[in-house]
Amino acid sequence: MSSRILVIEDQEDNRRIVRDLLARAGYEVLEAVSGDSGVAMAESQRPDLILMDIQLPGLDGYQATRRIKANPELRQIPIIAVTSYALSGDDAKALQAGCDAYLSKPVSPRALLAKVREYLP
Amino acid sequence: MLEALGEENRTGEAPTRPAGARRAWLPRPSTLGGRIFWSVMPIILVLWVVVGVWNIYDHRQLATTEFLKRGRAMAGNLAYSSELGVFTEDQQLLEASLRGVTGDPDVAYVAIYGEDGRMLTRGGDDDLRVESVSDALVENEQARLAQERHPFSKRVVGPGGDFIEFLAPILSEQARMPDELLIGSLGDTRGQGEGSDQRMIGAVRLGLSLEGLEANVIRLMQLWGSITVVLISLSLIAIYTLSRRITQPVMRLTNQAKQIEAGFIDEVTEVESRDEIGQLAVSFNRMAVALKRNIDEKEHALQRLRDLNRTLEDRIRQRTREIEEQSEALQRSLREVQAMAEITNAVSASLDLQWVLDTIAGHATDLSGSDGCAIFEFNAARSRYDVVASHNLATPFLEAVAAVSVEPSAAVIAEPFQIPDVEKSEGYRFRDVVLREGYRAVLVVPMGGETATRGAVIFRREPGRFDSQVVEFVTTLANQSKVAIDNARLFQEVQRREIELENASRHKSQFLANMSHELRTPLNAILGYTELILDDLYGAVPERMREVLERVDHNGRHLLNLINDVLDLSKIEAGRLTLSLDDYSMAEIVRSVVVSVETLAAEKNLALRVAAPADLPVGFGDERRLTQVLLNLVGNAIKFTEAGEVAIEAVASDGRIRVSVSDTGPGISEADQEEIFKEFHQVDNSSTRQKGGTGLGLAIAKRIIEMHGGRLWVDSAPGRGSTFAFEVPVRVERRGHEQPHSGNRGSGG
Repeated sequence: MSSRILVIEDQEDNRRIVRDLLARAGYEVLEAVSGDSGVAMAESQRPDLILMDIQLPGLDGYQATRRIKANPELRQIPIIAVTSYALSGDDAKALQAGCDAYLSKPVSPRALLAKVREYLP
Repeated sequence: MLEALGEENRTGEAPTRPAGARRAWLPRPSTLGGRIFWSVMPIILVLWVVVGVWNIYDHRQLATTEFLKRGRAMAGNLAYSSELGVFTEDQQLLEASLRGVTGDPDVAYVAIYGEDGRMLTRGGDDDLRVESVSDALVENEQARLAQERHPFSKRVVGPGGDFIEFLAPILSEQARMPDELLIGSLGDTRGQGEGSDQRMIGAVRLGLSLEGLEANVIRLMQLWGSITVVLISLSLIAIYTLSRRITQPVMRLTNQAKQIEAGFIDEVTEVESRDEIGQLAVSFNRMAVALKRNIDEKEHALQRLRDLNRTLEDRIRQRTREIEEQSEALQRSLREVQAMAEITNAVSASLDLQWVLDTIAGHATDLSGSDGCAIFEFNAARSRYDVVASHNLATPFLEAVAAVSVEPSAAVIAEPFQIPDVEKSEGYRFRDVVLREGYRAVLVVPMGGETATRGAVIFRREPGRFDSQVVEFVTTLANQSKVAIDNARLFQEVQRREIELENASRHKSQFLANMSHELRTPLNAILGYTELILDDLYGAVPERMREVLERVDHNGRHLLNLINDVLDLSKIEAGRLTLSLDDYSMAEIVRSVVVSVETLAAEKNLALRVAAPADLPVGFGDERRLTQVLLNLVGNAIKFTEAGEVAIEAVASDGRIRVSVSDTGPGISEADQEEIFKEFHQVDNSSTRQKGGTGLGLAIAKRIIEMHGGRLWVDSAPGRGSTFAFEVPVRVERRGHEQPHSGNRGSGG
């Protein structure tokens, strides 16, 4: 059974790129378009890894990460944050919120895949 | 300590020997007379006493000798005269002999003894004394008389007093002595001398009282005493007279000296004598005269000086008055200048036009010596004057003035005019209003030009003309005020514009920040898809299409860099870029930059020389931003260098880390060196596009370094390559650099 990755991303195009990339690489991709629905899906689906966009409508990436990490049953799920861009300072905040790793936009699909494979070989 | 003891000893000794004790028994004469008396009197007294004592003693000796001689003579005479009586033992004869002596007052007692020593008779003026006379001759008396055959005396102290007793033998010639028996009996005692032919037939005892002698001596002493008293009295009188003769002129001199001391120099002492005191008086008089002359001269000089002073004082008073007048004028000018300065200050310190006008009105009132001032402006819409500022004027009055209708043709104030007495000025538009408020004189000056409808008016309760000085000053004030008002208005306008501009700038930065963010989102998708296509995710890509897609990817990334740089810059400008400070290693930064540019350098066959010692101090700053700066510098160096090398060097000294990037590129002219740090300015715009730079990197790098408290500079010359270097403190101060930075444009204030 292939590993399941939850992608929490409000941008349609970005979701599609990640989905295309990861599905091709053999992962099962779950998608959420907001922080709230992402947290709910993490609780119900228990994915193996979460790709978390930081800039989300409503509940943002940091808050969503804190909620998931606050749940003892979900705590071990690695979360990779996707921050707005390298020099924004979001990365440090993401790690502080409980993310395990981060990627800065523009996210190169190749770099994304490499980072995912670190957690899900 | 020792000194203190010594001090105590000295003070302790003092009471045991008081200074005045020695003189206590002797009066200390304070006057000249006393001094003469005390120096003469003791000598006279001593001499007198010595002479007196010696004289009395001598007299007494003489008297005593005489007394004894008389006594012996009386005893001898009595013995002689009683010879017959004794011989015959006839009582009558004997008593007759006795009577010869008892009449003498000195004779106390007398007795006549016979040959056998038995008393034959006796006598005296006092029975008591006579009783003391012994009835017989004492044996040794008889023997002594028989032997000496001369009278002799002895002192007898009896119950009746002191006496000198004389014993004399009664002798008889041999021829007269037939009785040999008697002679025989007496012969035992008679001597062998010249009287051997005489026989002692009896003896006489005569007692003389010393009372007479003593009384004589006492009388003498009394006499001496009396003479002494008289002498001393005479001496005293003499001394007193003498001393007075000496002291009186001295006293007179003293008095005159006192008079001179008190200021009466005219007194002249009469000279009576030619002695030393007389000479002193003469000298004194001369001195007094000289002194008087001297003082008179001085008095005269003083008088002259006083006269001179009075003249001088008059002149000084006059000069002072002149100076005061001048100073008053000067002070007036000064006050005017000060007022102008204050108004100028008010204009430059405040943009509040109202305040400036109030200040002007206040000064105009004070300096013109009037009771109030108003600044007014014609309001064409209302056909009335608006009072825009005032000083010391009641609101109802101002309202009344503002209510008086003025037709526009009459509103212009061409030149200053005054109404010395409003009461007499029937045609004056504001006559009733002004009079009701109690003002009598009015001065109006225009503010600016001959067509001014704005002006200042001052009111005075006292009727009369305003003097030309006041008119001139208020006119000057009004003219200056006009300039001030115009300036203030201009200034206000400029400030308003500046605030608007600042707002616009902030909006621009905000807009750029938002826009670049919005631009990036679709661009990210484009780049993502392109990469997926190139990775054959959607099927095999033909070679020519791949080439085009790679160009899409390349341009997309350039666009992304541009957008990122614009975002950075706009963030810096908007003051929203913050440094995230932490420990970093400059050697590590250099290494990471080298890793990311190695390929680029290798592609261009450029040597990369790196000198970053591992023992550089651990820095404190924003590692990512510093990396960005260094990457920009090294990237540029590689980009613009066609051959040779790029050298990166990092050193630390004096608490700062300096990193330099040198290349062997074309170099930059001095004129261009300033330009390259400006946004979108590269040496040559065409080369920018060719080299793929955004033209923003250096501007951003410079800002980032400056935010670290450091500096970034270039050292270059055409044909000699370039060296870009920056320097940052090893430890960046936390305060001030984490806070929002205001960028290059100050907000003013």
